[in-house]
Amino acid sequence: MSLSPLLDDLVDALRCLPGVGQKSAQRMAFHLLERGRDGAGILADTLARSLVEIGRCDSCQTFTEAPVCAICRDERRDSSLLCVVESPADLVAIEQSGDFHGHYFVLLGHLSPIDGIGPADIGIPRLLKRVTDNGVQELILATNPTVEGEATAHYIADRLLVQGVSITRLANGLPVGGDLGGADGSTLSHAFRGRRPLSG
Amino acid sequence: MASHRVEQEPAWVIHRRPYRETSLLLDLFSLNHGRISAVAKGARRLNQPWQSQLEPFLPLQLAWLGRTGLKTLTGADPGPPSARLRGNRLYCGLYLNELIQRLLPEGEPFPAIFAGYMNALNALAQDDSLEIPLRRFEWCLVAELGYGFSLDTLADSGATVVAGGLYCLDPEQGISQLAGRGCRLRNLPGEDLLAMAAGDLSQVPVRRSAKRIMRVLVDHLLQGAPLHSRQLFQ
Repeated sequence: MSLSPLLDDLVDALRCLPGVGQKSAQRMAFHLLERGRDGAGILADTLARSLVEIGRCDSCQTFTEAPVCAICRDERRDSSLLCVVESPADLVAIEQSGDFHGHYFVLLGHLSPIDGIGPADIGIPRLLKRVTDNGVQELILATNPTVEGEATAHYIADRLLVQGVSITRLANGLPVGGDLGGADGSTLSHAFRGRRPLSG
Repeated sequence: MASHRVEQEPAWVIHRRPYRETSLLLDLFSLNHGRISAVAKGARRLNQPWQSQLEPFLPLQLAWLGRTGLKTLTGADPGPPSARLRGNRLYCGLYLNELIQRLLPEGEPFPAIFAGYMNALNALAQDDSLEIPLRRFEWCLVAELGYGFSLDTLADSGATVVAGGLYCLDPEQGISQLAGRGCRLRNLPGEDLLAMAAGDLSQVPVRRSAKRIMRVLVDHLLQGAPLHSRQLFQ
C-alpha cells in the first residue's frame, strides 16, 4: 500500500545510490522524515548546489567548483611529475599518503571494451595533449592492478614512448604489515617479479 | 536441466564489474555450462583472495549455486599456473573476451570453443605470432556457431579451389567463383584459401587474406554492431 506518492518518489530516488535497495531506501526516507529533517534540508541543499557548482577540472578532470582545481593551481607542486589515476577516490588515497607532490590526471574509469568504454570516453586524448604541452618529464601510471587497468596503462604508454617521457608504473607487491603465507599466488608472483636489491 | 550445485568447473572470467560495496558481478565462460553470470559476494573485501583470483585470463576451477539467471559463486581455486598477457597481447585477450561475451548465447556449452580459447590464450602468452591464435580462434568460433564452410570447395559449383584462381566470399554461403548478391569479399587468392584449409598460416599473404575473411565473418555474426576492442589496436 502506498502511503504517499511523494514518499514513494523519495524512496525511488534514494535507490540511485550504490548498494541501496528498496529496504535501505525506505529506512533512509523514514529516518530523514521522522528524525532528521534538519539534516535532510542540509542534504537537499548541498546536493542541489553540488550538482550546479561542481564540475570537472579543465586540467586534470577531477571534481572541483573552480575551472581549475586547487592541486593544479598549486605552484609549489612539481609540474614535471604527472600521476594518472582511474578515479577521484584514487587521487584522494594518494594525497592522504603524503608521498607525492606532483600533479594528477584523473581518467574517468578504465578502458573496458565489453562495456563499450574506449580511449576517448576516459579522456586519454586530453591526457596525451597535456603531457605533450606541459613538459611532463615523468608520467606515473597509477591505474589499478587489474586487467583493464593494465591495458589502460599500456595503451597510454604506447602512445607516449616516442616522446622521450619517462613512464613508470606503481609497484605491485605484499601489503605492509601482512604476512607472506597469507598472500595469494598472484600477488606473490608480482612481488617476486618486482623484487629489488636490498639497500641500506 | 542444469544442476543446482556445480563443483570444480573449469572456467574463465570474461568480465567483472563491482557490485554493491564488496561484491563482484562476473561474466564467466565455463566448460560444461558455457557463458554464465555469477555474483561473487564479498570478493572485494580486503584480504579476500578472490579479488586477485577472479581476474580474466587466469584458469580457474569454480563452484556455484543456482539453476537459472544469476548464479552465486561458492568457491574459486586457481587452475594450473599460466603466463600473464602483457601489452598488445592483453588487447588480443580483451578482443577474444569481447567476442565470447557478444556472440555466445548464455547457458549453452561450447566445449570446442572453450578448448580453442584456452589454446589461443596459451599461444598469446608465448612469443609466437599474435595473428595466428586470433585467426584460429575466430574460425573455431564461426564454425561452432554453425557458420563454418569449406575453404577449398566452392559453394556454388562444388568444384575445388585452385591456386592462381580468384574467389569471392559470401558469409552465408561460403567461397564461390562468381560474385552473387551476398558477396562481401572479392579477389581472394586460391592459394591463400588452400593454405588456410590446410591450417597453414605461416605466410604473410595467407595471414592477410585470413584477416580479411575473418573480419567479414565476425562482422556478419555481430550484425553490424561495433567491436570496441578493435579501437585498442588503432
